[in-house]
Amino acid sequence: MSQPFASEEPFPLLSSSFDELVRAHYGRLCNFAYRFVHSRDAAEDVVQAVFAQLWLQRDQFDVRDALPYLYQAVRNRLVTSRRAELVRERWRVSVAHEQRHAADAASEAELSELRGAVARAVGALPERCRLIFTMSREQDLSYAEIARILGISVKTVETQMGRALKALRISLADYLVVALLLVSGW
Amino acid sequence: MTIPRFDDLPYDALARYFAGELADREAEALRRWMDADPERRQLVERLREVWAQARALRQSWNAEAALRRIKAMEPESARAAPSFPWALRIAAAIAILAGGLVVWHVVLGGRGKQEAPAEVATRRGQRATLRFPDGTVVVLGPASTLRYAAEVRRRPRTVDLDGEAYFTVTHDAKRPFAVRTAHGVARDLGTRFVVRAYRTDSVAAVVVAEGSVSLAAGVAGDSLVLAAGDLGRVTAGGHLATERGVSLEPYLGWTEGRLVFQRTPLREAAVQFGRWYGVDVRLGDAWLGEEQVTASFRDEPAATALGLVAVAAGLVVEERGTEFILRRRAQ
Repeated sequence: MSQPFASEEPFPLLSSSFDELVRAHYGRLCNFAYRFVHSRDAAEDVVQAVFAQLWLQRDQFDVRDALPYLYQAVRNRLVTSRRAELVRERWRVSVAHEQRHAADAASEAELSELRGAVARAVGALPERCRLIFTMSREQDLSYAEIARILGISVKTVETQMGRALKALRISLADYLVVALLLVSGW
Repeated sequence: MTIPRFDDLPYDALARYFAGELADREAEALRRWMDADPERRQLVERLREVWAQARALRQSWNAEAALRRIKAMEPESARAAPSFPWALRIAAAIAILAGGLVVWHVVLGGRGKQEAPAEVATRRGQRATLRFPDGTVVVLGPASTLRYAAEVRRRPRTVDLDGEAYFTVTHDAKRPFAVRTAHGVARDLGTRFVVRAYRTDSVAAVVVAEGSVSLAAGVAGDSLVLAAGDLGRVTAGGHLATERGVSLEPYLGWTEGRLVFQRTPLREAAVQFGRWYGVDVRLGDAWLGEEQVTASFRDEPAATALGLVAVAAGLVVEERGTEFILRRRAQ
C-alpha cells in the first residue's frame, strides 16, 4: 500500500522510543507541573494526559526535539485545566523530620531547617526567575535546554540563575552570616 | 569582622559553576578566586550547600506505573480534536521580550468542527514557533495572527497572516505553500522568507533569505518573482515594487531574538519597537518620523533600548506610564 505522505514524517515515534521518552521526561514534567498545581495527583494527571495524547498520535510525532513540545503541551494543559485553578494554593513544604541516631539528630535537624528555609526562599523568587531556577535545579535541565524550551537566549538563563542565587543569598543571609561567625571563631 | 555586602559576588558565574555550566578553564579561574580568601571560600561553600538543598526540593515520581496507565488510557472525547493534526503538533515557544513574565499564549481556535481553521496569535512582546507535520516551520512575530486549515492534507497549504512571520517551507510541487495577507499573496517555491503584513500598515514587505517566492497583489492582481536577497513591497492599493540585494538583518534579526534597525525611518522604527516591547512609542513631532535609526537590541529592557535610540539620534525620551515620547533635545 502506498503512503502518500510518508516522506513528511521522517521520524515516527516507535513504541520503544515512546517508553524511553516517558522514562526520560516523566519526572521532570511532573516536577514542573507540581509547581503550578501543588498537588501530586493533579500534576500526574496533566503529564499523563499529554503523553497519552502523544501515544495515540505516535505515528505522526517527530521526536527530534521533544522537550520543547512536551513542556509546551503540559503548560497548555495547565493553563486550560480548571482543576489547576481549584487546587492552586500557596506552596507548602512539608519537611520530614526523621529521628535517627542521637549523634546525627543535630545535623539532621539543621539540614531540614535549611531545606525549609531554602524552600521558602525559592518560593519567594519572582515568577520568571523561579520558573527558570526550578527548571535547572528540580528538573535537571541544562541552560541550553531551558533556553530552547522557553524560546529565550542562554544569556537570559544565565542572568536569571545568577539573580536567583543572589536572591537566595539575601533570603538566607542569617544562615550564611551565622556560618561565617562560627568559622571566624566568635 | 565585616559582613560582606550582597552585590559583591559574581552570581552569574557562581550559578554556572554550581550548575556545571562553566568551561574547565573558567571553573579553574573561579576556584583560584575563591581560594584567594578563606572567608570568601567559606561563603561560597555555604552557598553551594544552599544550591544543593534547592535540588533536594524535587519529588520523585513513578514513571513505570505512569507508562502503564498512559498506554491504557482511552482516547479523549471529541473535544480533544483528533481532526487537528496541525494544531496538536504545535510546539510553540513564546518569549516575552521585554523582561516580563514568560507567558505561553496559544489559541487553538475552531473547536468541534471538522473544517474549522486553527489559529495561533501572539501579543505584543511575544513570538511563537510553529512546526508543521510537513516539516515547515513558522516563527510568528509579535502582535501577529496565523490561521490555517486543520485538515491541511486534503488542501493546498494556505495560511492567513496578519502580522509578521518567518517561513521555512518544505517544498512540495503538488501542494504549493501560500501566505495570504490583507495586502497580497506570497507563494513559495521552496524557501525561507519573511512576510511583514500588518493589516494596520500601509505597505507589506516580503524578504527572501533563500529560494524564491512569487508575490501577488490580491487574487487576480499583478505578480512578480523574488529571489534570495530581494525585498518585495505591496501597497494596500495593489502596487508592487522590488528592491534587490537588501540587507537581510533588519528583516530576519527578530527571528533570533534581535530587534534590528538599519537606516530605518523613525516612524517605522517606533511602530516595530512598540510591537516588540509591548509599549507605545510616540514621536514629539511628525518631522521626526523621517529621521533614520540604526541600532540592534537583544535583551535590553525597553527603556534602555529606547534610551540608546534617543542618544544616537540626539533626542530625549520622556516616559509616561507605558508610553514613551521621543522629542528633540531643547536647544
